[in-house]
Amino acid sequence: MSVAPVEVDPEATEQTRSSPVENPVWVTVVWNDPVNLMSYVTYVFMTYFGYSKGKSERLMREVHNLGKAIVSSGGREQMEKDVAAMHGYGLWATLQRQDG
Amino acid sequence: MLQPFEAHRSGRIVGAFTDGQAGVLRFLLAGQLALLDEEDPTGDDSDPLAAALGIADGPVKKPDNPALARLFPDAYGDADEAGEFRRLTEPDLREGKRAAARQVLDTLQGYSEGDRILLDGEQARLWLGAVNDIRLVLAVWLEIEDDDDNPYDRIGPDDERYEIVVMYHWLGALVEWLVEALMG
Repeated sequence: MSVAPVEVDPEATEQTRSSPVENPVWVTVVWNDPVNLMSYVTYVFMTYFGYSKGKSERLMREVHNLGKAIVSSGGREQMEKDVAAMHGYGLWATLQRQDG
Repeated sequence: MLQPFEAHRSGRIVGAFTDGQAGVLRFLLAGQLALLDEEDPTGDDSDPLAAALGIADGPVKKPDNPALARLFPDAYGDADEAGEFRRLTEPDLREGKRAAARQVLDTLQGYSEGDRILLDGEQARLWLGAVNDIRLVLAVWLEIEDDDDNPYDRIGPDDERYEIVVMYHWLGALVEWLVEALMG
C-alpha cells in the first residue's frame, strides 16, 4: 500500500470468519501491493466481510507490514468466492489450504 | 484543490468536477473499457450461442497485457488450479468491471462544470471501484512496484509519462474522498 508505514500493532490477531465445519480448511490471503490505498483496503474489508473498522484496520496493517494477511477461512468454495470478490475490488488475493 | 465528492445531508454523495476533470475521467474510462475488451475469449470472437446463454468459458491463461494481469491475478499458486479458477471467474469479473466503468462514463456524458452528480451508496461504490481499477492500471504503466516508490521522484515534467503520474495522483485523491464520503 502506498502510504507511509504505520506502527505494527502487536495485538493484531487474525480472527477469521467461522463457517460450517468443512475439511480441509482453506484460507483467503490478501497480499500487499504498492498501489491500493490503506483507507481503500480497510473499506473493502469492512464492506465485503462486514468486519468492524478496528478489525479491518488491523488486517490492513498486517497486509501492509507483513506483506500478507489471512482475511477469511472456511470451505474451499467460500474461499473461491472471497478471492474472486477481492479481485473484483482490485485487491491481490489468493487461496490455499490452511496447512499449505 | 476543489473537493470533488462530499457527503450530502440527504445521505447521498455529491460529485462536482471541472470540465477538465470530467474530460480526463471520460478519457480514462474509455481507455479502461477498451482494455477490458482485450484478450477476452468471451467477447465478440466467441461462440455466439454459448455467449448468449452465458455459458461461454473464460480463459485459462493469465493475460499477456500486464495491466489485465493485474486486474485478474492468479488465485492459486498451482498453474492448473489457477487456470481453472480463471476459466470460471474471469468472465464475470470482467463484466463487473466493465459495467462499473460504463455506468460512470454514462453519468459523465454531457457533464459540464457546475453540474452536480448525485450518487446513492451503490452508485458511489461503483464509482470507487471503477476509479480504483484505473489507478491500478496506471500504476502498471508507471511500473510502481514498491511501497516507497513515488513516481514524481523519477518521472519529471519532460517525461512523456508525466501526465499519467499527475492523473494517478489525482485518482488517488478521488479514492480517498469517496472512501471518506462512504464511510464517514
